Amino acid sequence: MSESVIAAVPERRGIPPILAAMAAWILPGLGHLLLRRWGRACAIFAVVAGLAMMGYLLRGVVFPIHLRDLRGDPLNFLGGVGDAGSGVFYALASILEKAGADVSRAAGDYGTRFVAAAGVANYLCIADAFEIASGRKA
Amino acid sequence: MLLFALLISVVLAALLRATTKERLRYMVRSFALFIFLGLAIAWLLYPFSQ
Repeated sequence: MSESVIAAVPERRGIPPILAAMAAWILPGLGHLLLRRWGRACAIFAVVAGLAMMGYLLRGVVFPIHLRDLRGDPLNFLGGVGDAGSGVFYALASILEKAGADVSRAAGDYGTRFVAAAGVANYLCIADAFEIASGRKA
Repeated sequence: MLLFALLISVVLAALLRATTKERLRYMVRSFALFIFLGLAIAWLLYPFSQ
């Protein structure tokens, strides 16, 4: 007797995955909030906000995104893409980091890493929100 | 370094583990590894800074 294996179709939860991902990008934690993952939402917001704000306090570099950098300075462009992961914190960088970047001191270097980490950490969170909304993750 | 390690450990624990107990254990372990490896690498690179 042969057994047929029916692959389980992931059950989608709540909002569409792409909407969860976009919400998670625009405001860190919002995607998880919309998916009713309250604890994760709070933790994600606190961590991404903490990393970004510490980066701005330390006057790290916030890389802009310019298409011309794709050819001219690809690392600059990649830096901008990384920083942009923090959504609203990246959009408000010029307001939140009024004094501007200062990498003449070691603190500025640390700040640059903090800002980058905020963006990259949120990219992980965006992927997590997408997976939860798709039903691939609990 | 401590703040960075703590924040990254929190977000990784939140994403990679399901229960509160598992998250706490993962967070503590991850934080300890961050600090230990950071200091270890710093000492390994110290001769090259001289």
